[in-house]
Amino acid sequence: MNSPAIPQLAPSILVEARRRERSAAVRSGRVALLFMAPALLMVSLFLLAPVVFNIVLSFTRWQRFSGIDEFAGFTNYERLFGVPYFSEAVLNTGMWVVGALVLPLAFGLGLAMLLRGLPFEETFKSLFFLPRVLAPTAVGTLWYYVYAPHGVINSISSAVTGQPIDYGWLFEAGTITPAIIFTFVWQTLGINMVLLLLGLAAVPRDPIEAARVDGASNWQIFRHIIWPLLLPTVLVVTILNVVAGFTAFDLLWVMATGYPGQRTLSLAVYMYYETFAKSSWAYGAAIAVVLSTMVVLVSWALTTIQSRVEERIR
Amino acid sequence: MKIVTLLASAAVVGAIGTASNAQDITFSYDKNGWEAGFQALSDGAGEASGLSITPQLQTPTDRYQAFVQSSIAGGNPPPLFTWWNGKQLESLVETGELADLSAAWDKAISEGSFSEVEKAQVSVGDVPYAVPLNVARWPVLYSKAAFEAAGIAQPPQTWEELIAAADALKAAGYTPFNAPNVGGWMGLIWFSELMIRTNPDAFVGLTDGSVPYNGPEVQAAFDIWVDFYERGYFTDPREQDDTRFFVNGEAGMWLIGEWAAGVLETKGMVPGEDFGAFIMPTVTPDVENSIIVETAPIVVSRQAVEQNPELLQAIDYLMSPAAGNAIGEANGIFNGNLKAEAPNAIVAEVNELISTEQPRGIVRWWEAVPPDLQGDLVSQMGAFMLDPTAENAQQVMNDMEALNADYWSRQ
Repeated sequence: MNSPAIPQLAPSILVEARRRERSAAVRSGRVALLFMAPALLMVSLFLLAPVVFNIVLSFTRWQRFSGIDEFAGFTNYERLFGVPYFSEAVLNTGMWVVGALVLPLAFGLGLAMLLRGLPFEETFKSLFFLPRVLAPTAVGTLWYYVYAPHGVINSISSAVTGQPIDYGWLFEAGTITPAIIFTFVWQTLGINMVLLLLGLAAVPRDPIEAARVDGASNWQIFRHIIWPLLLPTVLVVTILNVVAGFTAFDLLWVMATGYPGQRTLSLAVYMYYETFAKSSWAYGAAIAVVLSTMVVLVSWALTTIQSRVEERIR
Repeated sequence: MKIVTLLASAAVVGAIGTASNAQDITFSYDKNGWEAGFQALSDGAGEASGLSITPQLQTPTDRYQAFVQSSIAGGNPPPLFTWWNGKQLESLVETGELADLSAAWDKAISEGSFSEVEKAQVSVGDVPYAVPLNVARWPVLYSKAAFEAAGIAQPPQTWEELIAAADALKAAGYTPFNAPNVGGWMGLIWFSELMIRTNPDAFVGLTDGSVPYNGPEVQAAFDIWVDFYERGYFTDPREQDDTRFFVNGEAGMWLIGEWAAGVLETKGMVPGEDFGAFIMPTVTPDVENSIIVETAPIVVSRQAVEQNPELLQAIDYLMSPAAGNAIGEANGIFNGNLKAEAPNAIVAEVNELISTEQPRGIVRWWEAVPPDLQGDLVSQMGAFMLDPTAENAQQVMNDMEALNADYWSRQ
């Protein structure tokens, strides 16, 4: 039996249909643009324009009162690699990124696993989350006195050992960064825990119970079922922590106020010092460009990984 | 018709607004805690000039500096504002935005309110570009109770007497000198003092690049600094309350600007009764007697004077004894006016010491040194205070000189 022939449309009708289709698309694009206009305007004015202005600034000689209209080429970027402060700041920022990523994530996940299903779970969650609602400057001031030469830690150590101890945790190059990272972990542990608990709540019970019936150990269940399903949440937490590590500033500014090498404790502090304390506007802008580029590249890599993980799970 | 009325109204409002703006002068400053003094100065200057002058505090200092610098870079300098003297003032003068205040200074000097000494503190070349808000000499404050307990009859007149007093205080259970490093800048205090007590000319040379930071002149100062730390003369530099050890009676002396007398007064110590002042003696008698002088200037923009010539009358007021008394009464600050009353017994005592001993006034290191070097070098001095060994002193001197040489080679 022959299949019925499909009627052919005249070319002029096809052209007209396409024209109408295009015209409808343009109209709907215009409407969409109209609705997006306020947001686009805000983003352009308050985000894109300052970013572009900052990039332009980094190629000028602006310092204190003059030089904003003088082109400097890559001088400010070349200078970055000629001063020891920059490499020290990069190294410390690296410590911050690793510390701010690994520690809150590991402890937050441990706590989330521990608290899940525990009696008074909500109370514990609130307690661990509490430091997150405090302003970082308040947290920094509080912990300054914990670490002070005659502060809480040294007083307890003195009482335990019977020896006078006045170690300057925030005045020694070897302890200042770990001490402040610890404070950061104390403050951010709660939010990490809450996000991971949300992720854990979304993990289905059936495969876990099936695995348990099959005789899988707790570790095997975590390793092969919970962890892969929790990975998208872990990646979100990772991105948040990495960005926080790169931009570490407020705790360092408050807690390291008496430390002579304060400017080298992170790239963000070094940027602020050069820009506002030394009024090297163009050089500070160059540091900001380098810092932002690092954050964008790492965030982009992490979001790419996140998309792939989500695709694999689906 | 309605549109015409609307436009006309807008024009009138605009004209009123412009006229009112022309009369409104903002007096910008960053001296937190001096609000009463600035209000009093603004009121007096407003009354003298017929302008409406409003004080505006902006803190912290780095934000304030950023505000002034970006305003000037944008061609819209603040009309009346406080700044710093020395190299900081020089770089501001280079912009061409400051008014020349020669006429006001000539008048004030002829009336006996100020002398050429104060004028030199706020001049670039021979031209004065500012009026003093605060002129603070840096003596040693001493606790009368501690001196009495240690059996010290009178303030030290020679270096040997200073060492003897420090040893006596130590023997009596006191730490001789309160030496904090609050805010990261106080390292310059003892560095500067030991430099001027050993070689004041070399100190000045440090600030213009002619003397290296790792040469014998600086080495001599660091040797004494290390020795003082070894003898246990200084309090813990990590303490973040700069007055604590002097107020609680643990330290017997405090090398600081005389403005600290007002701060100590707020903490319950009575200037002249609980503590007195002396000028630190030189290490050897052949060294010229000198004293560090810190001057906080008020500057006025050229543009503002062109738009409001009455501002010059406000400047005349700011240089008058009445202004000196106003800021003195409000905040216990001395603005250097020779006809104004000393705001407290310490200022009166230092005035007396200055007139008897006639020391050479030397611009404080912070203001004298190029702004690019300030923070980098002072953090090195702070690093020495945390590890005050001879070995670290050498390291610090070499690091300072590396920064210093790099800066001057680029000039």
